[in-house]
Amino acid sequence: MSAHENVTGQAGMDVVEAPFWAPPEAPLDMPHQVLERSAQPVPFLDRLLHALTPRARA
Amino acid sequence: MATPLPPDRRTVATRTLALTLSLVAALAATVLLIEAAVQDGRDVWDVVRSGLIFISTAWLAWGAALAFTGLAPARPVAAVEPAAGPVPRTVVLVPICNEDPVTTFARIAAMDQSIRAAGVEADIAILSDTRDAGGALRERHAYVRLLQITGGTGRIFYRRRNDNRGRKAGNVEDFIRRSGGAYDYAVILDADSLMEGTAIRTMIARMQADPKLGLLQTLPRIIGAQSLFGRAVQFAAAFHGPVFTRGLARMQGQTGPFWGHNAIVRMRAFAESCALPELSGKPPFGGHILSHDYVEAALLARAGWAVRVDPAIEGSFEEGPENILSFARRDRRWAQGNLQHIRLLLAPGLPMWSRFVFLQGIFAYLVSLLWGAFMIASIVATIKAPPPDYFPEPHLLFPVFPSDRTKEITTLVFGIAGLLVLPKVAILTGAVLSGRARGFGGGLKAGLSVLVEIALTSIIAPLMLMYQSRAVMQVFAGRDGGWPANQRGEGSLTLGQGVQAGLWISAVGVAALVLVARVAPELTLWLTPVCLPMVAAPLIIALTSRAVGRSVFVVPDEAAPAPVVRRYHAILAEWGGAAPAVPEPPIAEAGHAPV
Repeated sequence: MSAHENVTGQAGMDVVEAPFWAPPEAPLDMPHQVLERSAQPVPFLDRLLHALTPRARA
Repeated sequence: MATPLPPDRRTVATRTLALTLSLVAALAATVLLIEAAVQDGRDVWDVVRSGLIFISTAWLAWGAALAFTGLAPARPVAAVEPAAGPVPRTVVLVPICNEDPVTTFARIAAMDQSIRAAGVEADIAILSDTRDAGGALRERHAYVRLLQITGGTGRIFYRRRNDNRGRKAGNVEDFIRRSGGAYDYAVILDADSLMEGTAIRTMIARMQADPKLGLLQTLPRIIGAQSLFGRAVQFAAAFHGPVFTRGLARMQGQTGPFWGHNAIVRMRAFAESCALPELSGKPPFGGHILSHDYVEAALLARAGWAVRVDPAIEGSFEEGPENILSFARRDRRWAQGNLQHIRLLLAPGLPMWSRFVFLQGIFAYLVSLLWGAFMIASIVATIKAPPPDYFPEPHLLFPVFPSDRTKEITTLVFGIAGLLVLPKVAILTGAVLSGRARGFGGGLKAGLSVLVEIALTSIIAPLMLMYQSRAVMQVFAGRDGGWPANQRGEGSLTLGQGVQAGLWISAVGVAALVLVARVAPELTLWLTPVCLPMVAAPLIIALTSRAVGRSVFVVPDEAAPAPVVRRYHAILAEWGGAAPAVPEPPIAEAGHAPV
């Protein structure tokens, strides 16, 4: 039984290499992107906080 | 590539001008409000109102600036033909999830014929995320029928994921991870998309001609609308859409938009840059990124790829919502998706413009809440205002009447209305002068359609304000609306359905009117245009969902449907609009295996 018959239960169509329905296997790497800042301090925000914080409390 | 492409001088000048005009308009509105408000003394509510009117007007003016920027017609561009040499490997991706398989696969059949007629070599991959077993079975039947009528074995593929992680973005990512290496370009569609083969050929040629182009977005025209609401949306998209999009293209330059479908991407660029992580925390702000398209456009720009939109590419279509409820449901998803971008405003390495685009998307939903807050603050300010003092100085013989504030308030109202209406009038004038209006039934008919569309938009606006405000408050309250599949093909709604969906809006409208009439009767007249449509919400929801004739909102695609649309209708008629009768496939699904 051809792959197509296997899927459709129908005969009479061209026999195709199985699995004819599946997209070609050709893996491509997709590295996950970084969108969130890590917990590391941000220099600009640190400087801003330092400027805004009274020295006595620091 | 790692450095974002800098904007050219023309783009910078356009952005600067639009931003300046928006700020000037916002400042003018704020000054008018302050002039009107200080006449009965200043209080904290006036400060609140001034802040709210500044932000809300700036937003409206920004929309108007987009339209005015797009008014000048585009310079004619020489047609780009496919480059000589090896034929690029292209795949058309059709992600689907619980869609009607008959209409979806009929569209694919029509596109396949159109692609071949245009001499384009492209595979088509149907990427199913359908969860329902019955629906999946119907898809398999439709797939077999599709292969039968197209002879598409070996170039039209179908696979269904067992796990729909990441929804549409995850679906496309899964395909790229498994099969992306086989292709140079991917045309990404939605289940209701239709594209001419000639449009795909043009897009491929444009990608070949510009190696830095990572993504090219087309402007899909809405087709197939039947109801009053649907036809109004269809008309607005066809008549105003190209001008707004041209403005957007000029404003965004190489940091353009991605709307998730009817676009072509360079496979390598997309694979390198666009695998989305899950955000830390729980939905609605954590988890999968819902409005993935904006983020993917920003990530491509971050990696140094150009992202452009071109409204001049003909032959790109989609379907639109047919009633207010479908629109509001879609808006609920988009509201959550766009508000989630608050988390991404400081994402590392993004071009400043991408952050600004996120901010615009966030504001598109926050602004409803801001307008509501402005109205509430105005009512409170009026209640809190001290009573008029007719004898401010002792021993006056005649009373001193407070200045009339009507002039300032009327100017403010007309100014804000002008920001909404003037761009549409300008677009109409441009269409009449250029002859574009002929496709919309001629200048008179197009003018009538614009008038009716403005009136309808004004009536519907308070309802949308309520739905959007509710959506925003739900998201901030931590309620995850999920990302339910589109309910396409929803047609006419009964009055009962209107009551079910709109009674709460009526109740708010009645309560607001009664309250204002009691505590600040002088504001009743001003609030009536907002409150009356709210009171009539169920009726408006039901009536606008009814099918209407073609006497108004004529669009060119009705008189002369595109070949791919005609093919689609013919195939659908042949299939009888029902699931094709094909014996049940005897094999079972195996893991990730498709059929």
